[in-house]
Amino acid sequence: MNFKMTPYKLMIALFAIVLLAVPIATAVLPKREMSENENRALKSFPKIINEKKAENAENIGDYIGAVRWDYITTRDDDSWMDDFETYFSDHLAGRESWVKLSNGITSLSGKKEINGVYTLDDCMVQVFKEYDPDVVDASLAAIDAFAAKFPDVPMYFMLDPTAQEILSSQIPSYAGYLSEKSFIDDCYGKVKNVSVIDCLSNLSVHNSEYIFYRTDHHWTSLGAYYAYAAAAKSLGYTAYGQSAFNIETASSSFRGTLYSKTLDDSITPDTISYYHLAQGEPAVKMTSFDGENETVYDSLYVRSFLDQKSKYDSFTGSNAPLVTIETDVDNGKSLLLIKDSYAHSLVPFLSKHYSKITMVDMRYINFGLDKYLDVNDYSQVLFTFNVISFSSDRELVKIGLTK
Amino acid sequence: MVFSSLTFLFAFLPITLIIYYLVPFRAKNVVILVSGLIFYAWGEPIYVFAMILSTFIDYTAGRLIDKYDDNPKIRKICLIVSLLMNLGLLATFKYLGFLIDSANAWFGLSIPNPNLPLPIGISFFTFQSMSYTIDLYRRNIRVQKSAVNFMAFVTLFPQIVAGPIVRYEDVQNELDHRTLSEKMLGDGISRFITGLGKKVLIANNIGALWTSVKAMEYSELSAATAWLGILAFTFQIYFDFSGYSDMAIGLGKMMGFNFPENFNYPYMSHSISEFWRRWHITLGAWFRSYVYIPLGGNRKGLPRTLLNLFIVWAVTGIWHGASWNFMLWGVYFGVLIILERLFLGKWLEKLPSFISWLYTFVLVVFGWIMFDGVKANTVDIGDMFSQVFTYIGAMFGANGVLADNFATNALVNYGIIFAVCIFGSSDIMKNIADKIREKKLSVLQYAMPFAQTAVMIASVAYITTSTYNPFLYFNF
Repeated sequence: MNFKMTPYKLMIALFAIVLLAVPIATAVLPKREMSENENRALKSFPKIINEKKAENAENIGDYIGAVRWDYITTRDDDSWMDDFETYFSDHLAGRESWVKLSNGITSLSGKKEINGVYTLDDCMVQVFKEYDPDVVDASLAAIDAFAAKFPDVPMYFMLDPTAQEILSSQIPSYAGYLSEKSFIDDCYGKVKNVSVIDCLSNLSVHNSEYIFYRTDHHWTSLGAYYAYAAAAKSLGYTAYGQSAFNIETASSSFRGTLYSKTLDDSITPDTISYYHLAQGEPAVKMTSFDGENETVYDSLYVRSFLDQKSKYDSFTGSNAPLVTIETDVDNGKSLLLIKDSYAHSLVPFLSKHYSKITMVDMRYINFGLDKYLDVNDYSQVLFTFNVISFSSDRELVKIGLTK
Repeated sequence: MVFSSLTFLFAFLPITLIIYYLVPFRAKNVVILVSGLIFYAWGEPIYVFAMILSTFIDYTAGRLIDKYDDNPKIRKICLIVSLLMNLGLLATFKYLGFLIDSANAWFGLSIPNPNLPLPIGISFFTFQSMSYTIDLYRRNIRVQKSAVNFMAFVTLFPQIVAGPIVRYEDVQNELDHRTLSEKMLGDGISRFITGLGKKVLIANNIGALWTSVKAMEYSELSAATAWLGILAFTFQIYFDFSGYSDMAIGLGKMMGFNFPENFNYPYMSHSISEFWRRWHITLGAWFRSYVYIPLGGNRKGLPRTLLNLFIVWAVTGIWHGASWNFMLWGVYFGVLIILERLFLGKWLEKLPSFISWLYTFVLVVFGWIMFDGVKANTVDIGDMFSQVFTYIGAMFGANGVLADNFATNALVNYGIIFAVCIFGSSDIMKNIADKIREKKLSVLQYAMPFAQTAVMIASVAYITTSTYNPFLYFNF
């Protein structure tokens, strides 16, 4: 046989390889149900036939009736054809490698921000670019009204900066990101009935330390420690010095939410540390209520999460509407914490100073708080959120509800 | 179905090509017909029947025009029926709602708008079918007796959705006899990948900048931001549209067809008339053959010529979309072309070539403000003008700010893409590729397919990433 390679044959061969290899690999490789990095279920194969109807079909007319005609004839975005494309891309062979490739090209082309994440030297930062002032004002008003409703319970409000504010000197100002300090000052100026707590100053002092994860949007235990120290005076406890703790390295292979957004493998994975009092920890009983069932733990750390992707969830477990922590600290002080996930790594420190802490996440509660607890039973209430979640969250207003 | 989707690239295309190459020649047009219907129905499952109906009527009209070759009356009736049907489809689906909205706004009426959807590609396939009956009436072409072949002409999937506007005349021989060769297939693939890269890697990327500028308040734009925004659109529409044409031409080649070229480096033009000979060439040719020349073209004296030009450009404008800003855009070019014909053209020839290029490019860029800078499909003509002038004002510092953080940030983030766009709008790359081919620089000749494959892989990566949605409720 007389075969002569030509540029045309080469082009045809390469094209055929790509065109065939990708769909065949996609068809052959096992399908995943969940995308851990995207934190969502992947699309299952869209069905044209209504199986139940097809099973009961007796004649050809029934079979025709079992076809989901609406589904395949609609021009809307939820047609079978669109779902098929979604299915295809959700299960495309090497999906995350494709995403890494395109993100790599995007950053080579000079773009620093991908998917709302700004990449610095070996560190990623969730960006605070915009917010709806009406949403923020509504949340602030809800906090104020809640405080007015329980005049006998002292209430506190602490907004936590995110990494963007702490690392702002490394981000060019033309990037157009907002100042979290101005945002916090602005919010603090608008509430009357709660005492505000400044943790930003203390975190800023330590801005060169490892206080925010490189690949996750949360603060590290050290960052949470500085907030805990900053809140001591207002909340009326004496914070332990750093030297009072033994630090346990729980994981050094943590890749968090910001990694999920960029899939940038070049950023060093994070270390998760647990701070244990050297003199011995207070005994704790943590009851997590997911809305239906209660789970009881004898530690604030749910170590099973260390084997999963979302290792930050090892701090008091993943988000739950209601978590109650009882300790053997015998001072009768109790704290109601209305919070987001930043509080999860803060609670291990706070737990040294309270007999009881109840954590409430308003994003998961659709009833009045009085369905679950009586605010008057608590010695203090602390509202604490990070700036980005507080600026975008529309759920906090639900604390105004009753039953 | 769109070319830049995984369904097309990895399901439709390989299956269609394999079948197409395996079946004997006489069945190839059937493959074209069936694949075309699937391709079209994928995005337009109901209105595919409008297309089938239109094709059926044009085919029948064609057969009758041929059969009653010596009966001018019947021939004329057939032509009129075909035109009425095609233009009727276009008028109903594309312009009815717009006319009702305009009438309601202007005369205080409240005629209900039926809000009909716009079937994909209707502006293209109606124009293509019309070219057949008109040319047949004019006896420029032979009748197509095979219904399958005629339907294959209309449903030929590469060009059905967004052109180039392939006239029957362009492919009549290839419909009956065409050769498939290694060269055609290789060239077609290479052309297709070029188009895919232009659309996915360049147009979509630079388009993001225009999207964010367009969302801003025009009366607050800095001059630099306004320029960067509309330049981003200038490149987006070129790379998007010409990329689409490249993909269509490439796919056509893979199947043995030579479609007409649609773009010829329009941003290198030195006059508006030249720009329009290089931009969307098949559309210009269509209007020339079927509107301008029948109106008398330039054969009936200067005033009539100018009127004809004006009509053609108004129609060209409104063809791009049922909205007054498209009409404005068309008339704007009509006026410029009339001026060039009257005296400007002679001046331009005497100017240094950089000046005439700059004149053309800047005026085209202003045109894009009319084309896409008007927010929402406004029927309020005053509002339309005010948006256009506010934007042009912003470009010249009317808002009192020359540059701002947004512009700096845009330059940092998009600088490299802008450079690629400028490079890609010129014919430098093409000249290099031609050199490589001419001189048979073998190493480079063999490197090109690898480079093209890299572009293909990068494009797939971008298509996939657009569906990567990290749903991080950030540990709510």
